[in-house]
Amino acid sequence: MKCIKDFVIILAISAVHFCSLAQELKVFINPVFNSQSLDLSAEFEVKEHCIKTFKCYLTSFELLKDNRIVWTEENSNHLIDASLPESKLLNLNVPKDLQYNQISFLVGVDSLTSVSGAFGGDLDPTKGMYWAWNSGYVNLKLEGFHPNSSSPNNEFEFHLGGYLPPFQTVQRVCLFCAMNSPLEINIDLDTFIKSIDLEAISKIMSPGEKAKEMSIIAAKYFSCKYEK
Amino acid sequence: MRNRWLILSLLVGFLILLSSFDQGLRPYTLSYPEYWPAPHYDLNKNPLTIEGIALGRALFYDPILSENNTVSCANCHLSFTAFTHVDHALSHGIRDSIGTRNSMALMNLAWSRYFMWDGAVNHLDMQAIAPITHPAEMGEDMPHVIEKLNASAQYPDLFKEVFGTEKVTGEYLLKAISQFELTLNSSNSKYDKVMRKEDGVQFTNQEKKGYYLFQRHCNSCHTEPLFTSGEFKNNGLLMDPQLKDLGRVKISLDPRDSLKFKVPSLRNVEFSQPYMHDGRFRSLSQVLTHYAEGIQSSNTLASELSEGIALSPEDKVDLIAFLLSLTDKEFLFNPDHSFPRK
Repeated sequence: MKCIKDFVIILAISAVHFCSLAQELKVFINPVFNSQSLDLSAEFEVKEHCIKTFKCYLTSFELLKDNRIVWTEENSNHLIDASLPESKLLNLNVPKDLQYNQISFLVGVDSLTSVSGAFGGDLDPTKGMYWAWNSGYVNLKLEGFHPNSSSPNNEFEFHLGGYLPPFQTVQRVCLFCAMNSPLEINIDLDTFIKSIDLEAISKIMSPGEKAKEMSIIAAKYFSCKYEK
Repeated sequence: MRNRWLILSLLVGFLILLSSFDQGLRPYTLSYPEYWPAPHYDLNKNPLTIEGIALGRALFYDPILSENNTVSCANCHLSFTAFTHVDHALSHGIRDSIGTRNSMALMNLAWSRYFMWDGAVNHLDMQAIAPITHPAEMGEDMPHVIEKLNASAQYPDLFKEVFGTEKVTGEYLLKAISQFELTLNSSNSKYDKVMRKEDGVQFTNQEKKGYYLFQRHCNSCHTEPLFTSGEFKNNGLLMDPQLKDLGRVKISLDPRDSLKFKVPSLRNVEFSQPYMHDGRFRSLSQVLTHYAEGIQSSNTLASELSEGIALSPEDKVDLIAFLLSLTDKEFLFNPDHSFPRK
């Protein structure tokens, strides 16, 4: 048994070397609020207009050359959390000399993953992004305070999720990009919040039409800094 | 590139397999009658082992999963009563809180696609999250459960043995519980023995008449051999005005699902009273009276029940005699399912 194991270890090391033909593409996910990079890692302090929580799943990363997929990330599931700075920097292993001019990803977790049981890592259901009462991931969570919010103490809470048709909330975003590393993808939370009529709606906590509509809007506020 | 990663993944997988041999994990084969369909649960994603099942069993019976360490899964799912909560219409949980539904019996779960009366849970692995985090059931939150398990004297070593992990995680907690639940299989009732022509076991004349009635009136929803079609149906119950439980529609948001609930299996139905999602009926006789005389018409009523089910008093007795043949005492009193005494 030991001989077999040693042999397999040698093979695995060789395979790792083989795979070293890859290069690391760093992608910095940058939620922007008040025209600044949102960092919630410090102790939270309530202000008239502020964000308390921002988390979202970015999954199924792809690189494209002129709309043709040239690379797909395996097991591509990333939970971005504005309170965890390290979660905002993604390291993608792509082949050396790969030519691409677009980056694409899902905002949210796809329906197949949503019905396939328990996963670890960023998909671990203890990460606060899984609904117990109605199976499925929360794709995007945005909570905070705004003077326009009709809720008591001007709070707003948007938990956007749902994978069942016709109210699927997962959205694919495709952005033109340069072949730079790090690549910076901004999420314009200022404009996103401005686009919401907070007097009319300040909470979404379950799947449905409103969650779907807001997910479509949220996806529009992703942009790539090196967009051409 | 993809191929390289595939090769690497295969090698790593092989290594993990080898290391599992080194750990001495003993594989467990899920056995079931040949006339049953293939399980819905993908066992390749959570291979059963004797050690994994023992860990899941320990967790199932451990109140550490509740907020104040007083309520375990077994509080509402007792092995001797087909893993459900008898004598209470609505199941009760932490600090004597009363829920809004009757707990479901747990058996043959590998064949179930949806869980809970409204199908709110889409996978067995994820089912346990609902009771653990429900304020009227176990009242916990998942990160705190993981923290408690990691701090316990026994669990980190057990998880390491089964999953090779240094830390207890949500994924492995849920998979361990699933491993135990996947072994809760009932296929040794008198009905099964008759179907298998085992040891000359035969139905009595009364059971035969009941079986005929069952096939004619019940089998389209409580479909053999699992005795459920797994579908959601409106079986003509008048909505409880206090609970106002509309069932599946809350999950699917489709008005056509209003008042529909999951069709429960009838296996071991003798021991799993009370009946229906809100536990309104205490006896099988009351259930049959509902189907014969109490069906409430509505837009979503199951088409099979549009005319009700015509049953004479004799028919009811015969039908109940057949239903009792679904009792599986080997399952109910299986020592491998009960509280794990050291």
